[in-house]
Amino acid sequence: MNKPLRRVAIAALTLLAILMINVNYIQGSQADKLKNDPLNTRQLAAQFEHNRGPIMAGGVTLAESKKIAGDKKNYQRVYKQGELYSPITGFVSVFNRTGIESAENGLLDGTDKRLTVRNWFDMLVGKKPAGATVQTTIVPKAQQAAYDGVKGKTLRRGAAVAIDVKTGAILAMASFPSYDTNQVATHDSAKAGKASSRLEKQSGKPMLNKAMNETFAPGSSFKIVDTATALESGGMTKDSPFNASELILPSGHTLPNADGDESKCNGSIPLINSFATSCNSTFGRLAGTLGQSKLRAQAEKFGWNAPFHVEPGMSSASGNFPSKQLGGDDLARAGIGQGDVTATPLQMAMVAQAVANNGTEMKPYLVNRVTAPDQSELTTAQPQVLGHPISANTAGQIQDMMRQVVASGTASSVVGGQDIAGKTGTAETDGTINEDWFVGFAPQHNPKVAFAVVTEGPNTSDGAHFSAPIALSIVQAVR
Amino acid sequence: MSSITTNEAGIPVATHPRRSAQLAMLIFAMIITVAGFAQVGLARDGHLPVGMYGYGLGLGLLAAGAYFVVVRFAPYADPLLLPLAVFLNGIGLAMIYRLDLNTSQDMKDAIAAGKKVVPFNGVSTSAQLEWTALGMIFFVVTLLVMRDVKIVQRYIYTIGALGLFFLALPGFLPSSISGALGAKIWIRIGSISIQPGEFSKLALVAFFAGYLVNKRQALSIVGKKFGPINLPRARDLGPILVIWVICLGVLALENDFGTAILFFGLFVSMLYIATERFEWVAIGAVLLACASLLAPMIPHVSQRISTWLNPQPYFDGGCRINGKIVNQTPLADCLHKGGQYIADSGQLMRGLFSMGQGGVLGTGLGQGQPWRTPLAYSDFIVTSFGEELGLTGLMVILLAYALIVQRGMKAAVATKDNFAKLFAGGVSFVFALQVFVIVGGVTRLIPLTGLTTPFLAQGGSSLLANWILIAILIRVSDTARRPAPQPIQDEGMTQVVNTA
Repeated sequence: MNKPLRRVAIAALTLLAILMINVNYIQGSQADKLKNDPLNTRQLAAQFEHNRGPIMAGGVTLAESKKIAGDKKNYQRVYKQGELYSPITGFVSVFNRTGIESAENGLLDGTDKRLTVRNWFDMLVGKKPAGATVQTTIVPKAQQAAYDGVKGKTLRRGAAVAIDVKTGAILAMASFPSYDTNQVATHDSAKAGKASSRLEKQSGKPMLNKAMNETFAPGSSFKIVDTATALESGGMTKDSPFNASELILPSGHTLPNADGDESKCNGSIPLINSFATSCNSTFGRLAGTLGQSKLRAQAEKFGWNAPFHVEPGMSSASGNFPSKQLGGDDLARAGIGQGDVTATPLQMAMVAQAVANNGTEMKPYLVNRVTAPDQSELTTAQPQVLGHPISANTAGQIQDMMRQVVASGTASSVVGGQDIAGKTGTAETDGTINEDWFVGFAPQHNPKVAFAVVTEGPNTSDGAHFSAPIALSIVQAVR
Repeated sequence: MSSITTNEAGIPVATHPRRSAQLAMLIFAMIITVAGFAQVGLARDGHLPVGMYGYGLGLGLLAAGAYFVVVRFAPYADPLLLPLAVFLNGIGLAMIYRLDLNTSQDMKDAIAAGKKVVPFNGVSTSAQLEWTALGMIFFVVTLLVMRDVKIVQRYIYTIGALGLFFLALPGFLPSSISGALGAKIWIRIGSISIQPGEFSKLALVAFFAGYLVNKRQALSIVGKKFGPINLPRARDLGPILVIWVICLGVLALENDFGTAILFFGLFVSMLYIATERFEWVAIGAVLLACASLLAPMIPHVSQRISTWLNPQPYFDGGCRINGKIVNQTPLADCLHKGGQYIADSGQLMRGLFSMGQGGVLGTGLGQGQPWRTPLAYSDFIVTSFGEELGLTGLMVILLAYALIVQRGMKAAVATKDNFAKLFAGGVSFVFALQVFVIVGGVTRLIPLTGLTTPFLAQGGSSLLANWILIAILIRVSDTARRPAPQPIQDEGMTQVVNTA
């Protein structure tokens, strides 16, 4: 009986060998897949055991982890001025992660390979590595000025973005209404759940970052894009004469200019004058002359119709420039930034940045530097060129035009004489609320900061009076 | 003098006792166990645990007792079997200690601080140590009573009948006594619950061995020939069909296809060993194929198969609404929407997540969260080890199992008596098959069934039965390796008469 006995022995050992192969497969090659399985709640539950590194802005700590009294294991994430910094930090909650907390999670909680490899000894003895410090590009004073300004002025919602002209670093990104990130970061899942569902129902969507995840009608601030198109592919210069007289639309309606501008927007005048006065008649007509495809191509060069990531997992909504054929009326309206045309405040700030940076558009970013607990540098932001939507020559001419707006145009009565340049925008929405924009750069020469501010004021409000002062206070805070 | 000779069958065997080797391995097994306890304490409570001394000493004394009995009453036995069993029993105890929050300083502090504490129900280190003690007593008694396995051969019909009775009993008892988690395989009396299948397993191996030794000649006779295949005579098909029907009955009455596969696989393999005719395996495979077509008709079995094939939709409760399985956690929601609650793969998937968490090196004993998987201390103890000791630890455990199987098979091959051969071979095979069915089940290699993990899982019946199993293997290996009684020194010499 020994021959079959040996065969049965081989069969029995084969069964055990199959088990060994299977556990090798599961724990050797499938481990990461299992760890990241959406049904696996372990990582989310274990996240509070990590001593997450702080998120900083200049010398200010925006978020840090603190030991909980009477709890040996867990840390509570604490946000300083949650309402002010929520668009930047985001939060870690029992349910999810947002903002930089999500984008830099691996480095913050210490599980990133760049940290674990250097902490291999800690790993061997089962000690959890401390998280890295994330230094953002935010300038706290500018952030405060942006938030306070928007909060003080807007009736409903608002946002302000400031970008470093040379690098694309985001210096301020405020969103209103906002929320206290500490409310949703509590470990008490019932409380956290209640807080987030209350915030989701609240008007103005406090948890939505209006600066880059909400789109608004850009109104006359979109005339920067019209002008760029005219200069780039319409064979014009800032001084080219163009008919500014009242525009009768194909439907027979007129495209109205602002009250009191009728005398300035009359006859064939240089384009720069129409820009400074913000003649709707000129730009409505210009849109028809240039055509939808040229306008759309230029808008897309600036970044319209394509979402992008500010940081990994932190995507910005995309502005919309319609691709379906527009009728004559609608094309004219698109030319003045109304109708189907929308933009995020970040998108408009990027347009201003490209103009101020002589035509080179930089990729906006929020994380400047990440340092390990031993102060050694893990990553440093490398400014990236996003594209060259306009030539240096075009950029220079548009800079002149935006300076003219402040010198003698729509913004002169408010910020005239200040070292700032920009384009106002006032978009009518539902008859009761206007979206008031100021998009530009400062200082007037050798610009350092590009910005876009949007507030929502009553139907009598305009971008110059509502948003330009906020922009001024932001750029003054950066200096 | 070389210690290796060959016996009459030409099998190399060691013919002198290997006491020191056995003692060294035993001490090694105890060191691993105590180190396991120490690590649990250090990681969980920050100091060496009090339990380390008590449980370590307890297991150490038991192991020492078992060692002396083996040395005295089975001196030629394979020196690896006892240390392997002590090793598995020991690390199982350490894992149960780790999962037993009653032993945790944290919990004592919390209770002292007046906090409300809900202890983890079901896991108990002290009970497991008591069962271990009882298991080792059974081990010793088996060794003492069964001085030769042939004693068993005399009572095979009695043993077989008892085995069948206890196997079938839970199926006929009301579910309140026998049922849990869908299967009816327990007998609960008061606070004690017994899984009689564990003992039936050994009884039936003994019965099959005795029966087949008697009938092997008849079962080997060739009946009809189909080309190269020599089929047995039709009337000899009786026994295999009877066993097949019994296994299907177990399946239908007790919802336990793990045990059914175990018994059927066992019988077919023993039939093959006894008759040396591979055709029996082929016939077994055909019957198994028929059974696997019938089995999904049993709802419990079909649930296990669907959750095995595609566990995601069943996570924490799958609900069939309009022919589609949707994840519907609260049962009430499912019924409210007019759906039909199907099955829950939460335990299976949590076990896999646990293993994924462990990766290659594991989190370290006491540093993972194996308690997230339900029954992490019994059915799913393998995934608990997978998490905290990693792939490395699981490979060691599986190798320990493989060594027990290999040592058992070696004893079967080496022994001369046919009954002992079949008995030891059957016992080793059923051990391997059981490990395969339960470990394969929790690692989603095959559908999950509720067999116990030998020596590791918390559970009295399983521990007792497996200690008896080791005693049987030790007894057979002792007999196999014991040198044949030497004839009195050179008889010829005495007849030489010196006449000089």
